[in-house]
Amino acid sequence: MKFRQEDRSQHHDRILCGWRVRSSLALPELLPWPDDDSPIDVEIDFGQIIEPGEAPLFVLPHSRLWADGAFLLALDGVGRYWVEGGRRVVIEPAPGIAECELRVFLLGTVLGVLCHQRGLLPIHASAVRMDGRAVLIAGVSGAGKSTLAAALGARGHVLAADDVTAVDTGGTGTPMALPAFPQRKLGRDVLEALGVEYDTLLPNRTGQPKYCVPAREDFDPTPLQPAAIYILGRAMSGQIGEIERFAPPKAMAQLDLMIYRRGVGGKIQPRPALFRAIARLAQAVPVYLLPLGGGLPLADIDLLAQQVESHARVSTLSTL
Amino acid sequence: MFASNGRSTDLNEMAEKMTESKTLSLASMISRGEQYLFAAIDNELVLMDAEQSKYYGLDAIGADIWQRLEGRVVVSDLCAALGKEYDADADTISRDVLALLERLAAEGLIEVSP
Repeated sequence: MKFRQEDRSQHHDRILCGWRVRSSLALPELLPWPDDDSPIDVEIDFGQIIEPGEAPLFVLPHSRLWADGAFLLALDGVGRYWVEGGRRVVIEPAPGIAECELRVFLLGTVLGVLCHQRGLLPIHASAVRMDGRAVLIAGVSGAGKSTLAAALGARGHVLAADDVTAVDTGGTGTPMALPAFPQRKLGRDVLEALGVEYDTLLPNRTGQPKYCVPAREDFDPTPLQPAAIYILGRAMSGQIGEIERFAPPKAMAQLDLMIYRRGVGGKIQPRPALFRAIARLAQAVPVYLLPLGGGLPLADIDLLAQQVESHARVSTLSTL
Repeated sequence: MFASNGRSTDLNEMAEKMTESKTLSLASMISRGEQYLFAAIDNELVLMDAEQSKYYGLDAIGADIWQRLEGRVVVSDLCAALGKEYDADADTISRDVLALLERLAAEGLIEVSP
């Protein structure tokens, strides 16, 4: 089993969350880093992973965490990923695994762990750029984050992040959302509803009715000040589609639940650091409930996107 | 006074159930618990029980009371200090303060020495 090693003289470094990434695993979905002298932020290599001698701090079915925040993800049939210090990833692929399968977990769980190790707040949210600011669509898996972001995309709001949005709450300024990489993952039903051809698209994972959809046009990795955060949630009877702002304690509790890879993140980052990050985000950005009855209404998805668009614009005006 | 906006616990209801237990009195000595975090957002103070990741909101008066709980404080002294700041009679103040402290104690956000 031999992996095509990227020839570093011929391949560009790539941009992920604004970091300069040098990767032995090809990452064609990420934009190339412009030719300059900036230092490498994250290095990704293939290699054999040797676990540390000391016992892990924390053991989950597919992952282990050590006291220094080093993280191991071990997935049967896919491979193992070692993630260290927010800057180094080693991938040990399982025999026969396709590169695109390796990328799924690299740009998912591993990305989330890198964020936690770097002291960022990764939110389980997709984000679009609207009038120069980020609008975040958060929700649990399957809530429809990518779908709503794609419908907003069809209305001209460029993708900033799909599924995971890293927010930098450090420093003295306002929190900033870091655009991740220009690719969406959308189900066949969503692509059909949006009228997107999917015959030529790559499936997300072999055999899955979910596709990788490039969204390179106008993608810009410049950090964005968030304008609003919408949490896709279940509606109580009669309130479907009535957007409601959460009061501060509820907003913080909701953001806490939306931390991406929350379990392991709460072990990598001290609890008070995560609390402060959530507080700074909730201080700066209004958090809303977008109540839905059992899932996104695919037939009326543009109407919903239109509603979120107008709401976000009014919300931005009120928080300027 | 005390908004119960936390994730899962209705603090007002809990306080009603708690009225039977008389752990707190004007003579009690109280201090903040060890496992809390707090942040001011808009006009509210958000408290979190760090062990359970539960969030609670305090309105402006509740936040003022929380700010006065630095170190160890006797409830009657706290009520007397509040009486100088707020335009309310002593009975109302001590009743409201005891009710708030009961709720904070029930959630482990303060410690009480009788």
